[in-house]
Amino acid sequence: MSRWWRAGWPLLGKTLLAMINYPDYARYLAHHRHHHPERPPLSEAAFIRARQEARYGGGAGHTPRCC
Amino acid sequence: MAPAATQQGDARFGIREGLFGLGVFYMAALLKKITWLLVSVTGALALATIALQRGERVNALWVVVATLCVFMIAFRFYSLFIAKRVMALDPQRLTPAIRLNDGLDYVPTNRIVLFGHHFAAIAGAGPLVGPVLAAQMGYLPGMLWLLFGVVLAGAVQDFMILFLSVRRDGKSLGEMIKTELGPIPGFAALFGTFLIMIILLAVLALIVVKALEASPWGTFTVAATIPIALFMGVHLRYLRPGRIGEVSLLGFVLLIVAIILGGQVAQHPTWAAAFTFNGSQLAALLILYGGIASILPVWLLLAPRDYLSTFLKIGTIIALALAIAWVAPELKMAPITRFIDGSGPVWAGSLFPFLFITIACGAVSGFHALIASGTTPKMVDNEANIPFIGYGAMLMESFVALMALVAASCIEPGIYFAMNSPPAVLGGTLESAARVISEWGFVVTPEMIRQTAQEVGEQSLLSRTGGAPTLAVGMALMFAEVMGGKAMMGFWYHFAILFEAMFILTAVDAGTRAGRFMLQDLLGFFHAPLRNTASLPANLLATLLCVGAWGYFLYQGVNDPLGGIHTLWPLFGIANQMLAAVALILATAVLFKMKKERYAWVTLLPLLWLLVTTFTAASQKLFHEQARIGFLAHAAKFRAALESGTLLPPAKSLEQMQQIVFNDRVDAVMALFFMAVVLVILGFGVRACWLALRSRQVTAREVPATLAQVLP
Repeated sequence: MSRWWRAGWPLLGKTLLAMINYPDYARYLAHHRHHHPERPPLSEAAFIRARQEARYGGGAGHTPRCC
Repeated sequence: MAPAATQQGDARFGIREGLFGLGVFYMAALLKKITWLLVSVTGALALATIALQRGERVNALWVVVATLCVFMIAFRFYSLFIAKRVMALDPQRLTPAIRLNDGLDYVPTNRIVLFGHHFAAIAGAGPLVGPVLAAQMGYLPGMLWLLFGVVLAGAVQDFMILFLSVRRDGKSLGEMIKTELGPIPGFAALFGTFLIMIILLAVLALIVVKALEASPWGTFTVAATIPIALFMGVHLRYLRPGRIGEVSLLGFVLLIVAIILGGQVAQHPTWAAAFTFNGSQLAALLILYGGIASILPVWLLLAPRDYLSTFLKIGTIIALALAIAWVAPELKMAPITRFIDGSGPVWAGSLFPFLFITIACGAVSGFHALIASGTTPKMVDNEANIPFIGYGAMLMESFVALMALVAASCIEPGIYFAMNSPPAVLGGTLESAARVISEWGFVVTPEMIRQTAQEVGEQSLLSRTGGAPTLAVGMALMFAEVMGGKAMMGFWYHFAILFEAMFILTAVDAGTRAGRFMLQDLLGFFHAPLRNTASLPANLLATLLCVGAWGYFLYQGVNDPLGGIHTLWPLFGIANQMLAAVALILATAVLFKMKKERYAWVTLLPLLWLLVTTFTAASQKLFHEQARIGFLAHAAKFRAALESGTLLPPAKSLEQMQQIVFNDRVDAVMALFFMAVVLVILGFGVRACWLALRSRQVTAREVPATLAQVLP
């Protein structure tokens, strides 16, 4: 039970964040460090702003919630 | 080459042990078969109980059991059949999330997390409103269409489009139509999607207007969400960036406070007057809100409101499911009412074809094709998870629609009709309403209507059309039984209203933005500089046009004598189902191009059904000789009255008469446009199928496969 809980808890958190499409800064940092170590990464605030802009700012594939 | 351990094992386990192992294997297989047999039998029993019980009231739990069984079987067998035979999903084939992983859009995501993401994006007001309106024909027709529509049409569409998009690096529906069918159908799809967006925004805004009309409690609570969202936005950006959990919780607490305060406001003479608006005023406020909100920076209002409304939506859906299981209410609505003949007060038209467009989302929804080709395909970590996300999330959405149907059917039918019939039918007083409804054969007294209104803290429940208030009463009945009793009815009713208004307003805001970009894209075909989304004049022009377009339909709906929903909901349903038909045309054409035409019936059957229902419905809306159904007949009736100089109620002046004639013609033109768009795309779809049949090779334009082993 406790093992199930320990595995399920972060998954629940991640699911909640994915539901609102919230930017995952830790994931971005990890990706950035691995693929583009030569460039400094965005700060957390700048990253979140950029992602929100991309999410709601329109452009192809950014359709709103449905009926 | 067998390892030594196995050889030893062979020596230790003789023939008897081997037979025993085989026995266990077959027992397990048999047990699985028995389980599925049990699920089938239970489902059939539940369906039979619901369909055959006459005279006695059916418990809502039977609906839940039947639904769960049907969905389990559909998911286990039909979605697997499609995955294996039709699509030939390949777990070894790398998805775009893996190949193009950029840590931003393309991110391999755990399937449960992605299910949550996808479900939150497809679930909205549609599956909640449609079934409530459909309940006028009884719960049985709506329930059967939801169950079988989703299994054979809706979930198949979502699943197919997600699959197609995953195989094309997450391309959008419009782009896929362009590459697979050609640029002309691509343009037609873009144009059609924009028109649907306009109607959708108008109808959603109309639902909010109808829910808040003359309701200071509701209006205060919904208005309070704006400063709450602004506060959350500022908090997230400047005070404690990134603390989303904390901010959401704070926002939720503030919402609850706003609901409780709203109750006080409604009882205060001056404050209540300040928050009491009529339909036209609310429409003007909403149009103003949509215009301003869609040009504000996203972090300030849109994003925080979206976060809060999504959590509220998911939480309330779960709470509703638990409440239905806990309360186990009886369905008070008849299984089938006399209104299947088309004489119903809530919406006009007979069961075929109008039931199938009234319940759009929940059974099959074209809008989902936009979501399934949006962010989700860029996050699928393995092709083997596509059925769970594409097919499974749509089953879940249908389940939400069934819960809405249950909630609406748990209300006294007399109250249901009092709330959902237009004033033109009910006559405007409690006494006349009770008389009319009793003549239809439903028991209701003026006292019953008055008392229910009092319990939920509203001035009146007469003609509160649009579905949201009805659903709110149904939800309040159940929630109050779980917690708080009659004393809490008002709180729960306004909680439910807030829950719906909250995400509808988010949709209005986000939809206006999306509509603006679509429009800029379309206008760019004619004048390239208008496509520049960074140019302020181009932005303002497109925003103004977009808000003006849905605002026009909203205003028309608010001033419609039959309550607006009567006209706009069928138009929205037709448009949404036609978009689904477009998505299925694409899917069918691609199956032909993949040389899988022997399985094309999987998409062809739902496609044909959608084409038949939408074209019958659209042509009836256009040409039906009854003025309450046909736009042109309605226009002709008012035109004739205008010529003879007589005033037809509800118009109070000749200008209003002219306005009604004009509105009818605009609606007729919209219906014609939708049909034209579908016919163009259908023509190119048939051509693509024909060319694919004649070709010896696979002509579908998938991104070439990269298999997992090929990678170092």
